[in-house]
Amino acid sequence: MQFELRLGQQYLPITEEAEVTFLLRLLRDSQKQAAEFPIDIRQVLDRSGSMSEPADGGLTKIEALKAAVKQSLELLRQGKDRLCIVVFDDEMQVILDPTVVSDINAIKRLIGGIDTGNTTHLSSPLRYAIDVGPMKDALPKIIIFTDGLVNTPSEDLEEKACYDLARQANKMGTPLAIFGTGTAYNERFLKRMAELAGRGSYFEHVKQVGAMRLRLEDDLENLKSVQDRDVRVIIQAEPPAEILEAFKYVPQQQNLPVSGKAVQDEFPGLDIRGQAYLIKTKVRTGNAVGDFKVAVITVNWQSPAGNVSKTFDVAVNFTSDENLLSPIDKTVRNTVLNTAAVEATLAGQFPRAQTLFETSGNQDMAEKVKTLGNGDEDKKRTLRTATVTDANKGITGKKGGK
Amino acid sequence: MAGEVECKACMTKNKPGAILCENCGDPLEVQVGTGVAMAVSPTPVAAASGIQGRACVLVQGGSKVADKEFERRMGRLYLKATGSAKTLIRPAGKTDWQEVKKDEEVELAITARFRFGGSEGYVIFEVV
Repeated sequence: MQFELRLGQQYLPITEEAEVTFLLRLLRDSQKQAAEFPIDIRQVLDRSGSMSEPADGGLTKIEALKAAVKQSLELLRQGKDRLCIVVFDDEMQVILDPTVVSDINAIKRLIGGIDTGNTTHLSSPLRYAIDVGPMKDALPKIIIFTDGLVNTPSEDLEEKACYDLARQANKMGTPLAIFGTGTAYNERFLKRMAELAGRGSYFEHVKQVGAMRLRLEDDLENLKSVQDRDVRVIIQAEPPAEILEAFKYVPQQQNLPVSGKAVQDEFPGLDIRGQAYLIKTKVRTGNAVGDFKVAVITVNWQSPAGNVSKTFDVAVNFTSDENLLSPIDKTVRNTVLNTAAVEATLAGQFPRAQTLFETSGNQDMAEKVKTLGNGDEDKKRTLRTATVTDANKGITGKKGGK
Repeated sequence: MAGEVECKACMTKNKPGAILCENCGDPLEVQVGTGVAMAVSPTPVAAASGIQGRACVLVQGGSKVADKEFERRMGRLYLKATGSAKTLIRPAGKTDWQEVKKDEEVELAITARFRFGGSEGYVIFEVV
């Protein structure tokens, strides 16, 4: 694993109090190959009645989903990766017990037999997917796809049960990738599930069901590219410095809670996308001169060779020499602006989001805010997913997926 | 206050280093430049034992560690100024840089941490 640290400013003027913002990037070691861990995919797919409604390309939603899943199977490595598929309406049905993949065509035939049913009950199939337990040395992921409200036996009971299961997934180190399509599902509920499951879990709105093929393939490619696993990052403020805000960006922008004087994050594996953290601190220097330690960063992970731990300092310099003063680092500044723009988008403050994206030079996202922000609910959901996923995609240098 | 940045929208004076206005959240008009990412990597050469105090070394004109010669002997780290790039050292907390003449060798006081990177065109070793 390689680390890269960008300070908003290396040299600041002597002052009572300053803001120090820094960007920490974790990158795969460019000299090493992927560790080739087995992948353990468990799919929990909606086959409720509404999945018989039309989707894109003249197919129904269920037909488009089945086609996407079948195509993505080609990326699984026979004799190495494990797959499990369970579908649900008001009841669950196991399509494929946890199985190390050997005959892709046979699995495709099983998927072909999936048909639509009645109402939506997610907790039982999700419990099944969690309870199948880990595969030794594998990188696990549970993929959930739904188009509707979890309403059986009731929305309240289902939400509570699913939140408990998300917490259980977190304890077991199994991240969730949750996908919703249409506007009938409860976006807040699915997002909350991803937050509770943590460890790189995420929620995405899918405008076209057929796009699930790329989503599934990207997930598989990213998992295959993992070099180091069980990564734990601790960023500890060095008093009198204080962490004001912290964000991470892979798989999506997320505001990290500051606990005491520290920020902590864990995720199952460092893949081709790397990881990035933006940390904003307030430093009371009392007009100190010279080097000033702002934070200490500790990263622990498991490499193929064993457990590794690295610790390093974040320090700036306060100087009276005007020639040494640094301008604000462009990458750090643009990340701050993009991050604020994403938050503005999520809060529905579209004009502010557009201005912030434009100021950072992110014309693509500014245009998306302009066109989708004034659209219907489906477009707004598409915009929210696009901003948290794509606005800062360039930070780690790799987009991931194919 | 030195270095504070006034927001053009609400006139709030922001602390040095601020990027967004702490009052209205608008982007501040600040001087933007391209910094250099610091590849942070505790390396064997920095893991020497024995606290010798505090020092900081600036190697000017080069962007690679290999531009200067570093050698670890008896748990201590030495820097030899080679090549055409100017070599400067600076005790931590001081603002005066002292030149290390070509082919001259200095001992760097280190414990176990160091970093390199910094503003454009510089490689900075901080040895604490």
